[in-house]
Amino acid sequence: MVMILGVLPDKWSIVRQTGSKRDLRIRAFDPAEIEEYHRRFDRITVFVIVVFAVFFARLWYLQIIKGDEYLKRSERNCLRIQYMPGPRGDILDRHGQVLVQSRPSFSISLVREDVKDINKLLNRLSSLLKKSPASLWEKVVAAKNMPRYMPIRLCEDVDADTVALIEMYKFEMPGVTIEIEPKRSYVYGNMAAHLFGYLGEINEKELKGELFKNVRLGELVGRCGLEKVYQADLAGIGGGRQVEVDAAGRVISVYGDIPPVSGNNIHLTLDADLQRVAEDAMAGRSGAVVAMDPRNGKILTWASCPNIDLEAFLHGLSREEWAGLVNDPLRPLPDKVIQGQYPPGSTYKIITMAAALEEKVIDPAAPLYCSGHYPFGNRVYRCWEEKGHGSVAMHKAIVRSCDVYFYEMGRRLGVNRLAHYARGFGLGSPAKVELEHEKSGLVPTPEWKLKRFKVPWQEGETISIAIGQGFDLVTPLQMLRVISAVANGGALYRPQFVEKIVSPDGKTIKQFKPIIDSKVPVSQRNLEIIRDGLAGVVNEPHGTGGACRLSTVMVGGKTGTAQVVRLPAYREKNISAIPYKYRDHAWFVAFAPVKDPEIAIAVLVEHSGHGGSIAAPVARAVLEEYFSKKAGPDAPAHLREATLVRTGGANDR
Amino acid sequence: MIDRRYITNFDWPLLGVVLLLSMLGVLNLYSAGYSATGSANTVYLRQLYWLGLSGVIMVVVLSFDYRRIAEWAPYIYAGSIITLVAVLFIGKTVSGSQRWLGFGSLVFQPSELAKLATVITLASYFYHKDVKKGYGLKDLLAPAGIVLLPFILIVKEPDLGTSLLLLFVLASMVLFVGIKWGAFLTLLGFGLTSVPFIWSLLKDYQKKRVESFLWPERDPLGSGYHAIQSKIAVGSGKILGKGYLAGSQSKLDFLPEQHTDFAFSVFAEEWGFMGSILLIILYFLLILLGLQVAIRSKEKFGAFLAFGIVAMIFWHLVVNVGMVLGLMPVVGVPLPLISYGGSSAVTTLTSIGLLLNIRMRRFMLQKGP
Repeated sequence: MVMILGVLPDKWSIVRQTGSKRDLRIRAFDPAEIEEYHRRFDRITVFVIVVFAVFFARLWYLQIIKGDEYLKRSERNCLRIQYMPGPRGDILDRHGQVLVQSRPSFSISLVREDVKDINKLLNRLSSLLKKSPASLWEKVVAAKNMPRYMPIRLCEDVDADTVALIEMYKFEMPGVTIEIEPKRSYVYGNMAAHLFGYLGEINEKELKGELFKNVRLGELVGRCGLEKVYQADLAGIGGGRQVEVDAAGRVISVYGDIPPVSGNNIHLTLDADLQRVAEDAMAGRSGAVVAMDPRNGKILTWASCPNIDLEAFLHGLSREEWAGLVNDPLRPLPDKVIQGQYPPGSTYKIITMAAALEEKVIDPAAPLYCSGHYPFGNRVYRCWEEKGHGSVAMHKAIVRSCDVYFYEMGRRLGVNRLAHYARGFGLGSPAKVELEHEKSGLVPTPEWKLKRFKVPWQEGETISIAIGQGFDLVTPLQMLRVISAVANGGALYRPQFVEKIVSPDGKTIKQFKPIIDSKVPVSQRNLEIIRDGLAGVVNEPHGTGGACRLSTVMVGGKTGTAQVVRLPAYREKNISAIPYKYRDHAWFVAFAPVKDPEIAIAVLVEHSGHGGSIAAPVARAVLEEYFSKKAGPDAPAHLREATLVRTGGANDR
Repeated sequence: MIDRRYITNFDWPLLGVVLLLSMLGVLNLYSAGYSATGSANTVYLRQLYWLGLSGVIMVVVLSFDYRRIAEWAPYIYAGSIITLVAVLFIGKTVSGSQRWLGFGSLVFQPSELAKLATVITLASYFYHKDVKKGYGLKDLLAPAGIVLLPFILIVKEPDLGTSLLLLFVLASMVLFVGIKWGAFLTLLGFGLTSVPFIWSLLKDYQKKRVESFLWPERDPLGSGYHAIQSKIAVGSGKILGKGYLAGSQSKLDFLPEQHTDFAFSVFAEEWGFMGSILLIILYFLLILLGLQVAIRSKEKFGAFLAFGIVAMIFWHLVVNVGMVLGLMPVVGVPLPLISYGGSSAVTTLTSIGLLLNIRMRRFMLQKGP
């Protein structure tokens, strides 16, 4: 282009200025050239004539010689396309155990082109399929704009008896076809439902997008969770065949066949046995259990309870079913591991402790006095231990979760230094997991409060924040990263779900590597002091986390009880006397073994009571399973009491 | 004041053929849209509006001396490249291809216009270069570059059919302006030997796409199915056709793209051999009359431009009719004036306007400058 524009001024100008007249310059043919051009022209004309002669001959052949044959074929319209969807890839756990797979299922379809009397046929089918004729009509009407040779899906996932029945009467019902297609099946029922995510029918808008280019209308795609994140990897590539059918719609011959291709398998870092134990321990409760290997960030369990029914989503939920899920007080829909935001309660004392050590606002050995009360400003802040802890140095303070000690730490540190360490531990921002809609939690500062509420910060609020009460909000995953960083010497790992992606023929397509996002701003020496304190929480006589003690392995952890409301009226009451939505959240974060930790865990139980009594046993169950499984089947029986019973697949239920 | 000689030199037969083809096109589109879905049949109306607009553009094209275009060529070319780039960024995507630029309710396909712009640029280049004894390899670098830029941009959309047409047009024009035997054989040899090399570079899915392009029976769910349904439609028309509005293949939606790429199948089914031959003869006349314009032009730019335009229309014809009759792979290329398409109508009638322009101004050279 530049080249052309460059030579333009002189040579390319064809306007010639002769006096006052503007004239067009002309380059005519030389007489010698003209002859040559005429020869070329003749050759070209011959070529054109040949091409048109070919068209003429071809039309003659198609319309006159073969005309009758094609007319017959057009009257019978016997060519059909049968699609075969590509099965979605499996999801497996870290030991290769299949968790989610595709199984064959039968569906009944209708090809309008082959139907003689659609009213009669639908009535007949409705009695065979045990569905109302109106519901079948609805499907036919919905597809009225589709070509008549395309099958319309009438009934999905038909059981084997009905298939046999239809097969028997099929010759009386031209146009009815039975199709086999892969269907999602959840081997362990609804286990880890939020992590996997449910499937839903693709909509018209998505069909046009790049992500779903191998998907056809009516197929299911990942709607959330890993099914959505890895849609492109999991989705199979549909195939099909072009067939000739007879008047009854039966296949006479196959003209072409493209076999469908399965999607890739996804191997997770998840451990199905641990996951099952975690979910069983949470039975009937609402909350989250999430565990990972602190040495690399690989997720071992990921439970948001109660689970959703993945199977139900495959058929599409009715309006009532949706309303039931949305209004359920246990809130089954959100993934509480990353979408549940709670006050951290006393688990936050880990951060206050780290900040106090790093900023040297106290000598860890220096005792303070806890009387059970901490007067500040014109208020009195209470310790959860009304009688007071007496003389408390740092180790005892964390072991017994003394509020007064940490009130004082908070006062000495100030809100901004606390916020700095909270952020250093990854709070206040998402952990950047692959799943969607991750919440970032909240680390409050005076600037934030001024902006949000238009009122200045109160010193007393710093006191509350130091023990994780107040404006602070964290997700269970964020607390897991905090305890993991304490355990592994300060590294904040990116939570990793997927070990590798493997093609159906067993080739590893992608292997995932651990990612360290950042390091916490705490020295190794101080992390050691914190780990020592957390070991005391579980193992020392007056520690609050005794319910998580294991006989074989030293566990370190921290309890937390997050107040939902600060109502003195409820303080002394039995938990069952308090309305559900005002009950405290129970927290427990833990790691084990204290020397060289291999597993870190965060448990949150919504509206249930104390962390030490409610959440710690859940963590204990998971840790116990982890270490008894590690010890192997030869280990003493008492280490293996939590054996896993595999529930049947979706077929059996 | 209109010079009388414009009228006497006007190519009335060419205009007549074009008007007849346009009318048949609208008539056929009415049938293609008729009761296909039971919904409103508006495609033929839209085609009429586009033809009206194209007619206005054609009259405008007649009003100035075509030789000025030789000077405008760089700007026309630059403009068409800009729209091609724009379509890659802000274009509308329809069934996987990003080909359309929208201005409000007006949607335009820059690749259609790019074909004409490239023809004009090539004609202008060959005119100014004016090699007498045939083009050598070095002389052909520039025209190859002129075509390559829009070619790559159109491949990116992706619109394989249109980009291949550009190469056909380039080859035709080079053969017309003359190429040295050595250069011709070198290019031919190079082309043939590079095929296996390029093939080895392609990824598996790309090979698959090329294979199903060349052998539609290997794609029984897509182009293979379309190809056989088109042959059934054409063949079932027999001698006299099934009658207007009575084509079952199109009415039952067995034909894909029956408004655009397979419009001729609809026509052949309903009008049979007699109708199809009439249509083919009209196109034959169009090509011959166009070639006459080229060869009777007294100066080179007009000859090159006219020939380029005829080559462009001719290759559309070959690829589309070849596809409908099952002689060629299934490639989405419109049949000028018969297929529905606003951009195609504008481009075709603008091109015809240029042909008429060249024809009616040939006398101006008789006196000499």
